[in-house]
This record gives sequence, C-alpha cells and structure tokens, in this order.
Amino acid sequence: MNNRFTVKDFLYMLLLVAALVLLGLILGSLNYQTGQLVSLRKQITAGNQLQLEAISRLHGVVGEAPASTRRAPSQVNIRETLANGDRYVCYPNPPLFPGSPYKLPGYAPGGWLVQNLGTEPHSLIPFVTRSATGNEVQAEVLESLLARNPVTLHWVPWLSRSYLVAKNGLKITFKLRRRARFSNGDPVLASDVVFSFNTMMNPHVNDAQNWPYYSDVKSCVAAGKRTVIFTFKEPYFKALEEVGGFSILPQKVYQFTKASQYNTRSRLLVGSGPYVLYRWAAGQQMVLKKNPRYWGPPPVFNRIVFRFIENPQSALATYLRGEIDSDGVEPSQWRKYTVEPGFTARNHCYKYLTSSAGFLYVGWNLKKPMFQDRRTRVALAMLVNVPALIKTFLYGMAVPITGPFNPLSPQNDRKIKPIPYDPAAAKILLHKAGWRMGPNGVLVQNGREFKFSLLIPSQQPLIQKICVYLQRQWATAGIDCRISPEEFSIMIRRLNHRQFTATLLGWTGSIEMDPYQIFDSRSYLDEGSNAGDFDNAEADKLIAQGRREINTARRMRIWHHLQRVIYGQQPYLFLFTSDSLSFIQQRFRNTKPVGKFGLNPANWYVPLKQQRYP
Amino acid sequence: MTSYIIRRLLLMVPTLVGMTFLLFAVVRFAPGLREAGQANVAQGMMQSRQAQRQEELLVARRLHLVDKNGHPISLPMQYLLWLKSTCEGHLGTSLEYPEPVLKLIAQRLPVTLTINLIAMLVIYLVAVPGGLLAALYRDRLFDRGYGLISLALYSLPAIWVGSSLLGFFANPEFFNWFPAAGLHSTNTQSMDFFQYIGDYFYHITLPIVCSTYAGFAILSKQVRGSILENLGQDYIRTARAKGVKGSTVLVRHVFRNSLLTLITLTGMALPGLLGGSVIVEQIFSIDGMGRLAYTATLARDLPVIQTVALIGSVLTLLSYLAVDICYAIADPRVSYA
Repeated sequence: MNNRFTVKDFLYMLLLVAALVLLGLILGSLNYQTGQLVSLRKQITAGNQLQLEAISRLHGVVGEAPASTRRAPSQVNIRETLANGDRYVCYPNPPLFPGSPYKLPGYAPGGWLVQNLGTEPHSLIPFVTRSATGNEVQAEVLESLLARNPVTLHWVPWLSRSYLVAKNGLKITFKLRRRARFSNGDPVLASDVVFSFNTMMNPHVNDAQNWPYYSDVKSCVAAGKRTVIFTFKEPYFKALEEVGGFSILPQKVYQFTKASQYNTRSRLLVGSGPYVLYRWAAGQQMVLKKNPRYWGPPPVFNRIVFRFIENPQSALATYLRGEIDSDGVEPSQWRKYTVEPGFTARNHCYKYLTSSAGFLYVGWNLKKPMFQDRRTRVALAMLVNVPALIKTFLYGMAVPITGPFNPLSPQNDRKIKPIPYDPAAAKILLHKAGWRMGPNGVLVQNGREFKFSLLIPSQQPLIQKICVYLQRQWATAGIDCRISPEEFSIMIRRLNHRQFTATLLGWTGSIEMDPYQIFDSRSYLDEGSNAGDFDNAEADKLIAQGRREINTARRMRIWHHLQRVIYGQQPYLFLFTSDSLSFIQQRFRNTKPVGKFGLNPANWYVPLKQQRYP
Repeated sequence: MTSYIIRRLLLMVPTLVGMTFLLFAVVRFAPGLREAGQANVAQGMMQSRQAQRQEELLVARRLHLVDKNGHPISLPMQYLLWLKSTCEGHLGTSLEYPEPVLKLIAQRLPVTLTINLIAMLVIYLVAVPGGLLAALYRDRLFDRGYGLISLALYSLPAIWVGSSLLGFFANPEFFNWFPAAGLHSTNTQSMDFFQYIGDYFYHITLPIVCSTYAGFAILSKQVRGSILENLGQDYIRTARAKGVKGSTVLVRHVFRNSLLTLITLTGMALPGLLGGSVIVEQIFSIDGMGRLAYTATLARDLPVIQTVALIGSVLTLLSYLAVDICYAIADPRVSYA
C-alpha cells in the first residue's frame, strides 16, 4: 500500500464531484431540450407507424390547416321538442359561449398563458387518469360530443352537430360535424366514438372508476359514418351528460391489441381540441401548443404552460414575481393582499362560487345509539354558529349550505332556511331526547355519556381548526368530542369498515349530483358511500323517482323535496361550500368569471403590446 | 484486497436477503395497504363502491396479494413472488403513475443527485477549511465564533429556514432576488447551454442554501476534533523538531491523517445523496427522490416504496464497502490481506 491517500487526492475527489455535477447539468440540459419529444416518439414507435405519423403531424411537422376548418356561414340553432315527444337539438356551427373574446376591442390572439397546476398529473391517459390536474390538461386537448353552456347550463352539440333524445329516455342519437377533425388531420367519425366508448368500458383498461356511470348503457353503435346511437336499459337523468361528456379519441392513434399497451402510454394525448401536447418535462412543466388544424373557434394563446408548484407559499411568490399568470389563493392570502391599495389595481382579484365546488360536513354514524334520535342531531347543528365559523376561519369566503346540493345548482332549494344557531333551544332539544347533565359535566343518556371521537384527515390545518371550534361549541352543552386525525388511507378504511362515530369530510360538487351514492339506504351495503347508514324510506323513494325522471322541471321538484327530507333528518351537519379565490395578472383582459363555471382561461387574451412570449 | 472485496460482496447476499425480508414485512404490515391506490383520490371525491372494489382487485393482483382468480396468496408466497420478480429485474409498475418504477426513479435521480452533489461540495468547501482553522485557532475568537454560528445553524429547522428564504429572498415585498419554485424558467427551451446553466444555478441557489446550512456544523466539528487530536501526536512534535515548515506539517501530516474521519462521513453520506430532502423538495417544488418517496408513502404506492428502500439498502451496503476500501488506501496501517 504505497499509494497513500493524500491531500492532492482529496482535491481530485472534489474535482471529480464538480465534473459529475457538470455532466449531470449537461445531460439535464440535453434531456430538457429534446428528451420529451424523444420520449413521446418512443412511446409511439412502440405502437405502429401510423401513430408515428400522427405524432409528427401533432408537432406541426406535416401539413397546414385544411381549408375545411374555416367557419361555415352561420345557420339557425334548433332546440325543440318534436311532435312525438322526442327532444331535438341542432347547432349547425359550434356555439360561441358567453364571454368569448373574439369581438372585443383590442382583442389579439397570441402570447403564452402560464398557469400553476399544483400537483403534477401522474399520467394523461384518457379515462385512466383520475387526478383533477390531469383532467384539466386533457380538457384543452380532448373534446366530447357535447359541451355545457356556462350560463344556461344546457348541453349543446360540440363534436356532434345535433342530438335526438327519445321521449322515453332510452335512446340518444348523435350526428357528428363534418368539419370536426383530430389534431392529426383525421375527421372525427362515428367509429372513433364507438372505439372511445369501448375503450372506456374495456375491463382490462384501468378506468374502473368510470364503469358504474355507464352501467345503464345497453349499446353504442355507429349507424353510418357520422351517426352514433346509444341505447339504455333504463331511463337515467344523467344519461345525456354521461354519453355526451366522455372524451372522443382518434382510433388510428390509440388503437391497441392488448389493454396493457393502452394503460402504459402515459404521455400520449391526442384529440380534437384547440391545443396539442407539445412537451412534458417531468417535475417541471407541461407545454401545450396551439393546434394548427383546430376546426372550432380559434384558440387565443399560442401556448399554455402548466407548472407544478404544490406549496401555496411558493405558488404565490412565483405569481408575485410574474412567473405565473394566475394563482388560486387561500383565504388568508386573499385577505392579506386585497387590503393593499395598489394590489387590486395591479391584479385582477376574483372571489366566486363555482358549480363544481364541494361542501364540508360532519357525518354521523347513525348506527351509534347516541346519534339515532333526530332531535340530538338537530341540537348538534343548533350549537354550531356556521356564519361565525366561516367568518373566523375563512374570512367570510364561503357560503352556508342547507343540503348536499351546490348552492348554484338548480337542484338546490333556496327556500330552505338554515337551522339557526340557538344554544338554548339546542339544550331543550337534548333534554327532550333524554340527555341529562352527568356528574362529570357531560350529558348522560341511559347511563351512557355523550362522548364521541371525530375522525378527520390529518395534514389538513383548516379542518383541524374547525374541529377545535366545533369541540368548544359542543362542550358548552356538555358534549365531549375528541378529535381523531388519521392519515387519509387509514381514514378511508375506517369509514369503509364503519369504524367511526363521527367524521368531518368533504364531497366534491357538480351542477346536478346523483344523491343515490351518498343517501340511498342501499349505499350502506357493501362498504358503500352511505357510511353513516342514513336509512329513510321517503328519501329512497324520492331518489329512485328523481333518477328516472327525464323532465328537468319535474326532477328539480323531486330534488327539492328530497333536500327538505335530508336537511330535516340531519344525517350530516352541513357546514359550507367554499368560494374560489384567484389572482390574475393585470395584462390579461376579459378575465371575469362567466356563468356558473367560474374562470374560463379560454376567454382571456393579452393585448398585442403586452404579450410576453411570441 | 481482491479476495477481501469478493468475500465482502458474497457476504452482502445474505445481508440483502435479510433486508428484503424485513422490508417486505414492514411494508406489508403497514396499515392502509388495502386502500393502496386510493389515497390519491381527492378528499371525499365521489367514487362508487363498485369502482373502489374494481380498483382494489386490480391493485391486489399487481401486488401479488391475490392470484388471477382473485384467491388470496399466502404471505410467504407473496414474499417469494416479489423476491423472484425483483431478482429478475422486474421492480414493478407504480400504482400511482402508470410507469415502471425504475423509469420514475431514473427521471428523478439526476435532479436529486445533482443538487445533493452541489450541496455536498459546498459543505466540504466551507466546513473542512472552517474546521481546520477552528483547530488552528483553538479557543480563540474564530474558533468560538465559527462553532457558535455553525451550531446555531445546525439547530434551525429546515422547514422554517426554507419558508423564510422563500418569504424574504423570493418575494417582491422584500428581496426579489431568486425564483420561488422549480429548477427552470418557463422559456428555458429558447436558451443556449450557458444561459440554461445560469438559469439552473439561479433556481437552485435557495434550495442549496437550505440543504447546506445545517451540514457545516457536524463536518467542521469532526474535522476540528480530528485535527486537534493529530496535532497533539508525537510524530507532529517530531516533525516540528526536525524543522519541517508549519504549513507542510499541517497539510502533509496533520490533515492527511485526519482524512479517515472525512472518509467515514463521506461514506455515510453516500446513500443520503440519492434520498433527497422531502422538506427542501416540497418547499421549492423540486420533483426529486425525496418527494417521490414521500408521496409514494402517503399513497401506499408499494412498488415505489419497496424499490426506493431496496436501492437505499444496497447503496448503504456498497458505501460501507467503499469506506473500508478507502480506509485501506488512506491508511497504510489498515490491511485486509
């Protein structure tokens, strides 16, 4: 061992580390510049040559936009009920929804829109992707047969030109637009719709979450080149939304022989939408480029860049530095910045409620004796001052609710009055329910103390704060609530196994939700979502009626009745639906929320002189 | 030496098997396994029970919990199946990302490795001379000041430092000097190589500061202690008595003999190089190994958890072997013959 390790060797070692760092940077740079395209191409070449051509066109290598993408002269839209009771809707041209920027003074297409997506999507495989952020990206690239007007909430033809719903609701016929094309130039045909549906329902494709919503679809067949017919086993009020709302994929690009091929093309995203996936730098950003072949209303921005910043503090700092163009903020951040006099002048600040906003609730396990009496549940609600809670913890940026339906939805009955905050009346109700004050300062009924644990997800500071507030409010009436935070997967297991007494959680919202999953007594069985075992014959009957009622007006009356039953029974202590809060850079125009869907970046534009990137 | 290395490598096999067994047992008995693959579902997102069941079955099949017909597989058989596929190089597909685990790691490893190597470089460049000077100026102002500052830095929690760096140095309200998130600017693709490198270093400045500040204390204290120990040795006195120059004594005798401590610390730091810091990556939105392991743990993404842990185990074993070999090279008294 003559070769001793000397100081010189130590310096060499440091030099080696520095060289490794430099090499890593060079490789990183090369990967960043070219790797994503290479990766996309590799995925495609694993398929077939046809797909390779598709991706070449996708990146603008081949061809220009065909003449067929030019707008046809406008014709009259039809929305009528035919003599035989069928409902017919026809839009000869794709509709321009309220808020479209094209005719505004100063409108200029171009520039980039840089947005923060928060969490990076795990994949972009249509139907398989479950993350909300993945769906957000897909919404720019994929399209469906119908689109929803954000103001009227009507379903209007998009890739389809018209649709016909049979009077009994058991058959829906779509006719496709001639000019609708995928980004590879292929026309959208009935065979693509059937392929997309069959892919979604393929038992070997990893999209089990979609299947239950289509369980009533009997068949999906192409009747000619541009006609698709869906038939149903039973009428279902969401049938039009379900079959008109799924993404249509180009068969030639996505065709597979084994489902595993489809399940693993995580970065392949080709559709008929206004943008195409240009690059995905893992962990950094995703870039969408304007689809040069887009058949519909022209997209505004040349590129949409999605960045992945999860930490709200980092996201806001990045926004303030002008590196992202919009940011969804938390109530505390909103409160801090909007009071600054200059800030609101330099930024668009929007506080709004959307139809997709969910609600927060305390769910009772009605199998537990302490919650079986309706009066006890109502008393628990009376002890909570929801408006004060909203004011304290959300700085007033939420809306109290009186049922499971979104406050913006026509499903929600605005006439229902919230249970008032009335501790004195609550104590009387508890007394009537048989609760008496025990020696420990805790209510007692039949020898049992009113003690329960409230199961909540851990790592949710807002929920924990709210729980402490609820705990204090209930304690004033002699109710001992203990907070039990659990990691989310453990919490799911406890809910599925009914190993809980009460829980504080949230449900996502929609324009018109199907209450079957949460409130029908059959949803308690087989670890269903009715974890608290709400079992009410009247509610079951109304849910069954509502689900089969195709007429909207009649259905809304049923839902309103159902809401009164549910709110009266208080299986949940309904808390609130939160507002959405957003900051948008001042250089963007036409940014106001439209209708009930909130912000729509498709309407935004930047005047020519203020556009940052070409 | 060669026979020693071969012996050590062979000894690693039973150690590794034992590690895989422990790893498998810990992961399988962790709560929430059955809900694997569901944890990513947004809080309270509506998902029917039928859909949940289908997903659970798919997950169970992929994890070898049940066979093709849905019948449960015994735990020892599950372990053997996993070990077999691991030995064959099939480390599985992530439950969260529809991609092979190795691909996910390959995407994130360069990010973490580059940042950690730079951080390590900075730590060594500051802490080694710092420790050296502290030893030379023992009990004087520099020694006390350096010791106090490095220990004070060591005691600061990374989450607080990270948030403060973000709040003060990436904020137009204070010092709008650095970007707050990510490793690249939006328009990186239009940059040439040198601009790209500049942009990269601009972005990693705060994460590097956050990764390094706590590392100075341990290393410099070790270097200081080791150098002080060697300064008191007879051979140093002899060298000085022979009239060898002070700087030569310091560099050729004292520092060289203090390198054993550095080798030990470097060896122990090697597995950590690949681990990444969850806190730093989370605060500065860097998609590295730490974040991957963290999200995989939350989502019970077993293939990812097992692979990351397995790679960590192998690297730990290899780094210990490397440390032993370096000892032999650095110190002629050590012999494995």
